[in-house]
Amino acid sequence: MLKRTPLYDVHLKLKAKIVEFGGFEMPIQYASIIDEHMAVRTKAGIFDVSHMGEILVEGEKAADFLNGLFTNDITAMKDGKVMYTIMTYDSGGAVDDLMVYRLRGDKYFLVVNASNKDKDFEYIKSKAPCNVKVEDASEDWAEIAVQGPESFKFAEKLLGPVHIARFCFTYFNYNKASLIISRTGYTGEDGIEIYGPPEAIVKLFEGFVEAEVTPCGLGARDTLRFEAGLPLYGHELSENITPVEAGLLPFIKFDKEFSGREVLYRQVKENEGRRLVGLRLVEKGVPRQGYKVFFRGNEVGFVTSGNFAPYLKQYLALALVDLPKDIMEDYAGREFEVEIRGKRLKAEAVPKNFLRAIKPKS
Amino acid sequence: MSKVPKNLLYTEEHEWILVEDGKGTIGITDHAQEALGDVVYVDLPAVGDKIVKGETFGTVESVKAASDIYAPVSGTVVEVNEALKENPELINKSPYEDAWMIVVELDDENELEELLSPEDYKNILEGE
Repeated sequence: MLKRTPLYDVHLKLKAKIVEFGGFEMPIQYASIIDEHMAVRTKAGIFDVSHMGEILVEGEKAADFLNGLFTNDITAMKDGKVMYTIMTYDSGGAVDDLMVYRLRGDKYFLVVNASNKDKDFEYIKSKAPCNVKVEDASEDWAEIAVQGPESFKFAEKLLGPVHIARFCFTYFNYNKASLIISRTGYTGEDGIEIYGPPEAIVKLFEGFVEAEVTPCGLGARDTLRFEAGLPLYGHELSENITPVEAGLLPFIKFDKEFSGREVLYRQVKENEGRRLVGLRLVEKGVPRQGYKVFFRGNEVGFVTSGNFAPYLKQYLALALVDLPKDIMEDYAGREFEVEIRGKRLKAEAVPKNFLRAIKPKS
Repeated sequence: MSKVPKNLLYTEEHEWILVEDGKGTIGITDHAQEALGDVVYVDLPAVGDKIVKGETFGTVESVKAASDIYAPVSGTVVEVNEALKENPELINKSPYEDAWMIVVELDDENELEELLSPEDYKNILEGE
């Protein structure tokens, strides 16, 4: 049985196209994915992301416990801070990637991928010492994201003054409910993510739409994160793709112990094996997940995500490739090929953070 | 409800064909473009290529997915809409006019009898 978020009826009213995602019936688009994408790049868009899982971890030893599961160092956090991390197996493969909110020194709010929520919860619970409480709070929380350069203008219309530094959160009272609002997102734009009880979040979502913030579906959420070069679990990260391979070094802290540290450390040290690269197609064609990638005529890897990037107006791909060290260290600008329906199309290696690195085509 | 012009014939795979003087102009229907969403790439055959009824002759890609286009008839391609290569979004804007894809010289006009009338195609859409 598929689940629905508290905003399901609102989506129907807004004539959204509904698809299955992570066990939920979610809006993939309201009108046009490209229009929604451009609204976020130029103005503001609002997303229902209530399908995301919320896990509460509480206890005197909660920080040390979680730090042993995460690649990033959450003991460096203060109350009101948000941190991105990967949770890894001993193999170095990713259980999930997630956002950690430090509510208190002994209480953490984890926001995880919908499709991984049950797995994450069981995994964390199975590792937890008896004095650390792990609770699946997903049913209690709805979540929306307001993203785009004008996000704050609209947020202040509905909520009053909003002052939050990047990767921080604050509590807000709205409609008799207490909300958590963080200055975070998954689009490459400035913006906020808002967590709260279902009724308040539904009212707020409707308020934003009334104020003419464009409702955006999961289709635009994917093209936006892809164009910004942000990883998606199941594509750039998985049980079989480590955060080192995915190029997420800034979020791995080797000066502490955590599951998978040895494997990841060895991957960094040896500086060999698969790495994620950005590709820009020189010829027209849409690369998709799983398509083969060639270098000097040899198959060297595969596309993890690919699409037409609507703002940059170019066909781009993230690809996991295995190349000799000397080439890997100096891969920018080199010529690759992506095989699309039996045809090999030329592609040029570019930095993965497409949105910052590439100029939009007119 | 998607548009289904009365002067065209249709396939169950959502292609349309307009037949005039032994030549057929082919495209995809309003329903097809709506289901695909924003089209970002089109792969079409070249002038002189043969297409075979029921087999794929090209691909339309939207931001969501790639989708094959099937030939409603067999024939030889005599014209290709080059504008679609630069402006694939025409398929969303004008599926029956500006976004015609190819013109073919029909091998066998009898094949047309197996295609769907506008009424039949409409019934299929309503059943979906």
